[in-house]
Amino acid sequence: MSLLSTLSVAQSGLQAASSAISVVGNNVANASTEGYHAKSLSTSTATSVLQSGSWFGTGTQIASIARASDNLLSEQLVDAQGDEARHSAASQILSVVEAEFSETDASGVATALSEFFDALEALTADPADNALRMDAVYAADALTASVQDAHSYLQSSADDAKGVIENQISSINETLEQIASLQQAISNDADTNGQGDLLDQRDALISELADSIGVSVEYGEDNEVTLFLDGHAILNDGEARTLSYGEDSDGNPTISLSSGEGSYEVTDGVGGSIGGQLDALAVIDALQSDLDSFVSNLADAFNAQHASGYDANGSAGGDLFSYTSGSEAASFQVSASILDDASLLALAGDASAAAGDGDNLSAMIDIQDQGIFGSASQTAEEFVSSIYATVGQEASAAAASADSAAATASDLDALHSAITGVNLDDEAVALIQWQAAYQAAARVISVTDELLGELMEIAR
Amino acid sequence: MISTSYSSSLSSMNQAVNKLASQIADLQEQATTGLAVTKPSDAPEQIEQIHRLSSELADQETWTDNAGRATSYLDVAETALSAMSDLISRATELATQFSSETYTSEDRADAAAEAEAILSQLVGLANTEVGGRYIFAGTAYDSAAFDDDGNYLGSSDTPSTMVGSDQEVATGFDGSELLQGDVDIFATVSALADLLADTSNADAADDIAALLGDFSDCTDQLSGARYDVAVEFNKAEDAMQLAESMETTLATSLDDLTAADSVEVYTRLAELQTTYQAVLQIMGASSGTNLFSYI
Repeated sequence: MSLLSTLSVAQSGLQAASSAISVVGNNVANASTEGYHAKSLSTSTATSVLQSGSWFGTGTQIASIARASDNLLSEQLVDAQGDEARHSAASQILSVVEAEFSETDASGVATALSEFFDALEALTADPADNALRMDAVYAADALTASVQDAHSYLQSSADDAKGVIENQISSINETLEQIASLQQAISNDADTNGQGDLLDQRDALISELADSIGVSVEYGEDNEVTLFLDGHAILNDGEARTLSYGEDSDGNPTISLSSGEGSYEVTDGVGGSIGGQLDALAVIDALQSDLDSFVSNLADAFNAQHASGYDANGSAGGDLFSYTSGSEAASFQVSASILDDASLLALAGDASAAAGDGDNLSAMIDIQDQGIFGSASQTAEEFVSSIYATVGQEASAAAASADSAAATASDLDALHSAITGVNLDDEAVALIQWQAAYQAAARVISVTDELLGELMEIAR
Repeated sequence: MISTSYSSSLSSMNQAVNKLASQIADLQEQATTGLAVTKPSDAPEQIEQIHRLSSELADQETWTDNAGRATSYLDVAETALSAMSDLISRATELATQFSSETYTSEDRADAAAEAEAILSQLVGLANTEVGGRYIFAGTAYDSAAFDDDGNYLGSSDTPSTMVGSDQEVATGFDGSELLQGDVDIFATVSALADLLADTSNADAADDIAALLGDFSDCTDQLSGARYDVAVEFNKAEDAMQLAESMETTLATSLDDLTAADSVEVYTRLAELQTTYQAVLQIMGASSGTNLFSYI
């Protein structure tokens, strides 16, 4: 083993240390980069050579630049991210929906209903008083307006959510294509040391997909990845499938997965923020059904009783309210003729009754206590209250689920990040370690240089 | 051993700060509005109770108004009946006075004129109205209850108003039943006036004496009418007091359910603000706390 060989050995040490310091620098530079996985350089002994019957080492070489990862934990994290996004999206939409039912401005359905019955009760003091009749008609009109407002607000929230879902599906297809391209690049890259950044990009996009639609992921050998949605592979062997948005006959969103083998509806298996929006849409749909049911029951009960009475002119009462079947809440109105002329309120019990007769008015007031709403035989006010309670329960449960899912995702993220992220203390130690290695190798070169110098002096 | 990455550490502290900020915002809203329940999700299990109490509170306010309106009508009715009683007393005095034969025809003519005037006043009082509402016309209270001759024009139905869940009080009366039921007070006074005016009737004193029994019945009938009015008046007053009392009770119950405990809110707010500041300081300090700072 010659002194010149020693220089070569030391040089390999310098190169390894220099590369390792470069890796440390890259880690530190990306300490705050979202989705960055820490890299670490490992070395191995260079091939020894046999000289004069003895084996001599030839230095060190870079064995690998490994990317910190834990596939099992990554799979769990993707699931948790989808779960968090789902509950968070549902919670956000329901908290917006809830604002319509907060009653802080005393203009909600519950307040309007209570004020309508109060106006009828006040009218008992003087059924002939046109001012009181007009108060009752205005209260009825305010009730119909509040129901229409609530319906319109719910419909607007539903339409917004559907629009967001449709846009998201388009974006998800693009993301799937990007992941497929990255996966192909990873598969085609023979140098596994250079795949780290591609893997980081791919996993960041998978994380985006988890947020938006709640995919599950399965990591295979050679950095292969398969993505699943509702049990169907949506990305496999570097090939992405296409998702499409549609609506069923009731206007509910549907999501389908297209492949060469056909199309599958995967709506029920969708998670992420789209899943959360679908959850919220189901709640909104139920609330709209409740409002429709409330309107048809209330209007039918009042119309039947109103038709039994007689107005201030002795004519039989017509309908007090009107609505269109199939869109009850949206079309709920006070009869236009009564809105124009409060004397048409049929408060009297018979055609020849005196002006102050309020027999039919009393019968209409009795509707307040009739258990004709909902499946639980509730009164009108109880039924409306139950709608509010449902909104509150759904919003509260969604918020609690969102908090819980966020905590789970946060814990998993911390665990995942502890394994894959950059720890500055660890990097500082590595820096010291490789700096020392570099200095030692440099010292070997320096000493070897001195020895070579002395050798030259002897030879001179 | 599990270490903490730089980004994870910052992320978890960010989450903690955001959560604290959200809790502080909630408490500030409670402190500003004085309400712990401002939306259904604040207390979904109590919403139905809150709505029920709010609705009942509004009912009490309506019933208080209705009872107040009823008492004003009934007060006017009582005043009118009281005045009618005085007039019947005076008519009875005239009848008693002229049931003997010691008066001249001039005296009888004067008394006849007074009796006619009493009759006119009685009809006027029977047509007492409040804001165009005739109290003794039954449910036909939009027009006069009696014509000038004391014939009833109103309705036999009694108007009433709601002053409680299942409670109503009269806001007017069937004048024919009240003033012409057992005995017709107008016909009795009219008969007296006719007898006093009839100078050709030699038996007028005896005929007037025969009316005294009817006048006694008129007095009893008016007393009975005043009693009926008083009963309704008391019902209305009791209902109003009950409604007002219930308003207080329900408002207190509603307040218990929805109001924020200001002491608890401000204590918790101060606690969270301190924690919030501490976390911010820790974030600031930890961002520079790593080995690189020491090498």
